Amino acid sequence: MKYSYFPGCSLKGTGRAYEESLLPVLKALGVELEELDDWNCCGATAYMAVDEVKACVMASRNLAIAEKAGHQELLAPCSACYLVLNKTKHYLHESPVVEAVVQKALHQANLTYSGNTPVRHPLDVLVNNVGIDAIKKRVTQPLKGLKVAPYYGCQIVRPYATFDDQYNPTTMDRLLEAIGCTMVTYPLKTRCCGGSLTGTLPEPGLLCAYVLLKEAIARGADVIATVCPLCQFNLDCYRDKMASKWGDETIPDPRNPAARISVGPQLNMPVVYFTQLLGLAFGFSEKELGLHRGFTPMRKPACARAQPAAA
Amino acid sequence: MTENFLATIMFLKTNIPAALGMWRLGLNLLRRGRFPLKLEGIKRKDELERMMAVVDKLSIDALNTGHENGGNGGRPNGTH
Repeated sequence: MKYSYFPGCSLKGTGRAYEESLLPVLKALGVELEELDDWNCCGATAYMAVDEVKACVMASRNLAIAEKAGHQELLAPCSACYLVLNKTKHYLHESPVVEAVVQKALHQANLTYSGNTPVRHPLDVLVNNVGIDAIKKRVTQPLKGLKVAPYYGCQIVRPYATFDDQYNPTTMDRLLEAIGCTMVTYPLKTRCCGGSLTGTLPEPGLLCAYVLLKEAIARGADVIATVCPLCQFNLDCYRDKMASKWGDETIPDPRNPAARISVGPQLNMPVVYFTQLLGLAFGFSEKELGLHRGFTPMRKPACARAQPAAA
Repeated sequence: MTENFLATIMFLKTNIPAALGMWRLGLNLLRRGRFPLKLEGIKRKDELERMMAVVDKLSIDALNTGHENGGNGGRPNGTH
């Protein structure tokens, strides 16, 4: 299996650990990636809000480069990139006017885009192409007993639910169960993390992220697994601010419902990429997977440490 | 241009106190290798500029001719 690979800017910056864990995990499963030559910013959701056509032109340059590279499909791990690239494909199919402008713009760069290159997310590829059975076979250090809250975020399921249910996605749940994790019931799995609001209107943005962390604590999770660099950033990097605002709040102790616990000290729950958990189960070290880059770094669970390392 | 620099510039242009208030976040990101200092750029920048110029030109042409889809550069919902 070979895919064109569009990392996007987050995977080279704040979401570096995502790329550091994604690449070895996919390689271990026989998935080859070829990074797009001279890719540009996807435009993110922000540019779409300012100028839709220019955002489509930017995104379509990447799609056209992928098509030129000759691979059948384009892999986009970042949720925002995945959404923007898919949205551009939809716009090109649905609006002849947009398509005409985009094709004229691409012509200036000696590029063309037929609109046929599928944009795939690693979750989709892992579950539907690699397969759960193949993943199970690669596990050397199952993460038995690790309680995980699966957090998908909004952008890979809305508005286009291309490979999973829009309101109750389960691909990550199935994937992580296959490597031994215990998935906690997490009803907020597709709720907003605050997105860019944490930078522009911090109060409501931080509240969104806080509610997600608090729910994971209340459900007894050891760790939150996510698929999105922005979600990971919001949940991981603003905990001091959340603690100072809402840290005094108390909730029922998930281990002893008769007692109550203060949320503040519990906010330091690791928030990791699903690929980092896969990598741990495959026997990669914490450093190889970028686990040290989290504001609350995750240590390899005792269950995984006790077993022999992968070759 | 990386996302970190983009965000930093945005804050410096729009809200300097907020940018200064984020020094601790920036330092923590830097310490963890999540704030690359190397400025990245695309190789064929002129190519992208030519592409964007086409959109601008079509928008202006549409404005001048009063094209029914124009006035908004052919945007599907007039969102600009």
